[in-house]
Amino acid sequence: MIEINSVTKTFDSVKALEDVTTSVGDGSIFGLIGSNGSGKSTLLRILAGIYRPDSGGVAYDGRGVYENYALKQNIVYLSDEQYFLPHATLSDMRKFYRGAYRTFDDSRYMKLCEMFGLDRDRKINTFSKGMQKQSSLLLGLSVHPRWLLCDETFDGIDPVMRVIVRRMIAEDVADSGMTAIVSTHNLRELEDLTDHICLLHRGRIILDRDLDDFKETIHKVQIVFSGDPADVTDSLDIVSHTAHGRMHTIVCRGREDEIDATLKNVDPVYFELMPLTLEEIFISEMEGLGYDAKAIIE
Amino acid sequence: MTQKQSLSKSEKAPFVTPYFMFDTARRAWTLCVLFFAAFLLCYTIPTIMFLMSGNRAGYYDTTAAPGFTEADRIDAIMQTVANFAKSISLSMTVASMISAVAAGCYSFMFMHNKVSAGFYHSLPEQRRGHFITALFTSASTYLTALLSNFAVSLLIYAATGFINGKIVGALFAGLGYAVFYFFVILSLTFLAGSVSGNFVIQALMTGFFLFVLPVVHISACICYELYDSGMGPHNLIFDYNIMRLLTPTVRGVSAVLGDSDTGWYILLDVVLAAAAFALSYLAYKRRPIEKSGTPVIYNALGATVKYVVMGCSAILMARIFFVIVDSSVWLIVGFAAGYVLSFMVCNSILKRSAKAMFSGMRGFAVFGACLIVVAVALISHVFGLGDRIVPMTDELVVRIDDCRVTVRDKDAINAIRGVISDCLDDGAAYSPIHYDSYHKFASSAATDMGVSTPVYTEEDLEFGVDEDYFREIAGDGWGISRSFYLGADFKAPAGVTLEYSYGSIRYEYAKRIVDILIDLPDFWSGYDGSSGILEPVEYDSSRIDAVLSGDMLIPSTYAGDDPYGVVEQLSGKYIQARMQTNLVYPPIDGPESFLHPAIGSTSSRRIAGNGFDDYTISSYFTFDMLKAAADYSLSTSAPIGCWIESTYDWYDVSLYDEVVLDAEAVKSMTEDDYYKSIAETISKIVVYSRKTDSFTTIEGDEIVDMLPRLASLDHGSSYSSLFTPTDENYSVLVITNTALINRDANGITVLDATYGFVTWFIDGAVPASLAQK
Repeated sequence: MIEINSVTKTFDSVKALEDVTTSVGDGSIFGLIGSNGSGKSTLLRILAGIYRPDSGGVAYDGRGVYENYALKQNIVYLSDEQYFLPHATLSDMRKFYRGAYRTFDDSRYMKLCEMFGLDRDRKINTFSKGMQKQSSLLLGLSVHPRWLLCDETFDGIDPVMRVIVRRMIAEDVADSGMTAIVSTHNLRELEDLTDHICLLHRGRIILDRDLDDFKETIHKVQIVFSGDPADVTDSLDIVSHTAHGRMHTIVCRGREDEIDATLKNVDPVYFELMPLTLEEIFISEMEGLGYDAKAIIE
Repeated sequence: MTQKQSLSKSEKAPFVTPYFMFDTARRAWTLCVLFFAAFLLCYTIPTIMFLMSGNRAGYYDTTAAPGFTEADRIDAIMQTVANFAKSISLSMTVASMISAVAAGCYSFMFMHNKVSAGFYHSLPEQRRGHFITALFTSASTYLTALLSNFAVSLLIYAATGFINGKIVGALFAGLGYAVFYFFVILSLTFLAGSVSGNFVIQALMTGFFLFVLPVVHISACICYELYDSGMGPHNLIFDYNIMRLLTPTVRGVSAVLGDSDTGWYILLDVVLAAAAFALSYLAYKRRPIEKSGTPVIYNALGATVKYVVMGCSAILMARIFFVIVDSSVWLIVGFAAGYVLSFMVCNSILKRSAKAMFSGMRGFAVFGACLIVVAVALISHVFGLGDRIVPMTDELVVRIDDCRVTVRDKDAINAIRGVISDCLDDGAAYSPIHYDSYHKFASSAATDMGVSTPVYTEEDLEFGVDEDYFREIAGDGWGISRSFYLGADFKAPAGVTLEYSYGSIRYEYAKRIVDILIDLPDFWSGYDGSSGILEPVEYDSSRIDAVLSGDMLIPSTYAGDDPYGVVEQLSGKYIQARMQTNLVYPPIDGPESFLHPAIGSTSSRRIAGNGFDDYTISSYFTFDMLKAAADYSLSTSAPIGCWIESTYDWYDVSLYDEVVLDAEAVKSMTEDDYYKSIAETISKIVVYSRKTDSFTTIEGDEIVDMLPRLASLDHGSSYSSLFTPTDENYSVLVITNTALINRDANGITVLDATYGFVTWFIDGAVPASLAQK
C-alpha cells in the first residue's frame, strides 16, 4: 500500500502540492487526473523518489522511497518525457535496465518488442514519439515492477496500441498484484482502466474516490413529469438539473434503487435512469463543489 | 506472466551498482579519445620529436671545453633529457587540469537536464552511487588516456636509450603531479557541478572557484592604489607567491617547476581537494532535482557569485578605463560600466533570460552604494589603514636612479622615510597610476620635442652626432630625467617582500635620498648596482680577488634549480670559467659579434647558486685591474675569458665561441697598448659642456688619452644622470666604429643608432684642455 501523507511541495514561490493525502491500495490502478500544472507529475516524481517533499511523506508498505535502493528495485517510473541513453538502441537500453533492475525479464522484453514491432537495433532517437513511448513502456514492464508509475504514458500512442497497453497493465495488476498509478489530463483514458480516481487541482486533491463509489452514488435521470417537478426535486440530492421542454435531465446523488423508488412515486410520463460517463460524473461533482469543471479537466 | 516482487527490509543498498558505474564510464569513450589526443599532442609527440632529434647526438662536443670527457658528454645529454622530461611534465599537468574541468563537466551533464536527472534518480541507485560513478567516469577516462600516452613515452625513452634513474624519476614525478592536480581541479569542478544546474554554468563556476581569490586579490590591490596616492606594495598585484597561495592552478605549475615549499602547498591542495570532494558530495546529496537546468542550485551562492563578479568587474573596468584614457572621469565611467554590465550579464545568466537583466535593482543600488562609499573612504583615507611611508625595518632595499642599495643603518632608514614623508606631504610624488600616465605624457612630450631613438639600417648608418639629440639626453631638455622613481623593498613579517613604489619623485627629494645613500658606511657592501652611476670608482685592483672568487657576485635571481640543466651539469667546468672571466671582460680581440668594445660595461652571465642570470654591469676596469686579473689567472691557473653564445639554443654549447684572456699577453702589455686596443674601436668622443652648452669632439690619438679618465662605458640606451657624482659639468658621448646589433621584435637584426655610450669623467680627471673650453 502506498500512503501519501500531507505532502507539500513548493517550487520557489509556486506551491505545486499542498497537503496532499491519499492512499493507493495494492493491486489497484490509481488514476491521477488534473489539468496541466495541477501537480500530477510532481506527485508522481515524489512517489518515484526523485523529488523530496517539503513536508509530509510517502510510504510504500510503511517505508520511505527517497534514496531507498531496495524499494526502488520494485518501482518503475515512466516519465511524460522519455529519457534514453544518448544514441542508445533498445538493446542497449535493455542492458542498462538489466544492470539496474535485478528483476528485468529478458523473455518479456523480447515478447514486448515483438508485440510493439520495434526494431531493437535501431537508435531510439530515430523513433517516432509514439515509438519512444512504447519503448519506455516495454522496458518498464519488462522489469515486472510491483509499482508502476505512469505519467501521461498513453499520450502519443495510437489507439490500437493504447488498448493493448492498457490490457497489459490490467493483466499485470490482476496476475501479480502490481499497483499502477496512471496520471493523465484526459479523463477518457481512465474510464475503463482505473479503480480509483484522484483529481488534483492547483496542487490540492479535490476528489478522491473509488470509481465504483462514483458510479454507484451518482446517476442521471431523464424524466417527463406528469405533475409538479418540485415534488420530486425537493426529495433528491440533485447535482444538476436541466430542462428542455418537458424533458428534464437530472443528475443526482444516491443509490440507484432509492432514486428509482423516489421517481416512480411521482408517476412520471417518461422516466429512464441512465449511467453517467466518468466525464459526466466529474463535471457534475466538480460543479457541485463550485468548480468550473471544464476548466479543470479536458 | 508476471510475478509479484517481494520486498526485503534487510536488503542493503550496494555502495555503487557495478554495472551502472562501468557502463557509464564505458559510454564516455569519446571523452577518453579526446583526452588521448590531447596528451598525444602535448606529451607523447613532443617527447618523440625531442628524442628523435638528429642533432641531439652531436651535442656537447667533447672538444668544446677543456677536461670535458665522453662520460661528461653522455651525462650532459642525459641531464638534458631529464630536464626535458621535467619540463614536458608541465604541459602534461596543464593538460590534466583542463581535462579535469572537461571530465567533471561531462560527468555531471546528466544532472543538468530535468529529464535525464529524473530518469537517473528514479532508478534503483542512490545518490552516493551517482557521485561515485561520476568520479569513476572522470578518473577512468582521464587515466586511460594519460597512462597509455605515458606508457608509450616510457617505451620510446627506453627504445632510444635515453633512460636512467634521473629520467625515470623525472617522468614519474611529472606523472604524479599531473594526476594529483587532475584530482585537485576535479574536486572543484565537482563542487561546481553539485551547485550548478547546467553545463556552461558548471564550467564558469569552476573558473569562479579556481580564480575568484586571485581576482579579488587583484581588485583589492587596485583599491589599495585608490587608497594610496603615492606608494604601496603594488608588486603584490601579480605576485607569484601570493597567486600560488590563492589558486591551485599556479600551485600545480609551481610544483612541476620544483619551486620551494612545494610540499606544503601539496599538503594544502590535499586538504583543499578533500574538502571540495566532501562538500560537493554533501551538496550533491542535498541537491534538489527539480532545480536541474537552473543555473545555480543554491540561491545564496548565486547571489554571492553575482555580487563578487559585479564588485571585481567594476574595479577592474575602472582601472582599465583609467589606463586607456587617463582621466578620473573615465575612471568613474569605467567603474559604472563594469558594475552595470556585469550586473546585466550576471542576471541574464542566472535568470536564464535577457529580459531579467535588470532584476534585483534594490540589491544593485545597495551594493553599488556600498562600493562607492568604500571607494570614497579609501581615497579620502577615512579608514586610516596602512602607512603611506615604508614601515621601519632592519633592512631596506632602496632602488633609485637605476641602482639598488641595501640599507641596514637604522638612522639612514629613518632619514629615507623622512624624505619620503616630506615628498608625499609636498605632493611631489605620483601614485603609480598617475606615474604611468605621467610617463606617457613625458614620452609624448619628448616626441613633440623631436627626441626619438631612430633605428637605422646598415646602409643608413652614419657615425655622426645629432647634437640636438645629445643635448636633450645630456642636458635639461628631457623632462623624464628630472624626476625619479624610488622603490623601497620592505620585508613583511610573513616573509613577503613588499615593494613600496614612489613614482616620479622630484629631483630635490631624489637627491636627498641619494645623498643619504652615498654617506652610508656600508654603502659599498650593500650596493648591488647594475648600470648605475656610482660603481666605477669603487672597483680597484685590491679587490679583484674578491670579485673573481665570487664574493661580490650579485645574488642570482634564480633561487631554485637551474632551469637550464646543462649549466648545472657543466658547472665546475667551463661555466665556472665563465663566471670568473666575465667580470674581467672585455674580450680582447674578441669576435665582433660581441657587439662592441667596452672599458667596463659588460653583458655577463654569471653563476650564483645553482643558477645563472644575465646581468649587465658597468664596471670600470682600469689597466691595473686588468693586470690583476691576469695575475690571478696565472697564479690560480683559472682561465679568464668567456663563452659567447652565437646561437639562441642554450643547450648547444658546442656552438659557443670561446674568448679567453691571454694572461701572459696582458702581463707583457703596457697601459698604452691596452687603451690603444680599445681606442681602435672608437671613432670619436664627444664632450658636452652643460655650462657653456658647447660640444667638443675628440678624435684620433686623443682618444687614448681620454679613455683612462672616463668613468664608465655602458652600452645600450644610457643616459646622463643628474646624480653623477664625478662631474656634473660635462657629459661624454663615446661613438664606436661598430654598431650595436640589436634584434627588433620580429627577430630581424637592426643596427641601433644608440651605439654611442654616454659617460662622464672620473672625478678630477677632466683634461685641463677640455676644462678650459
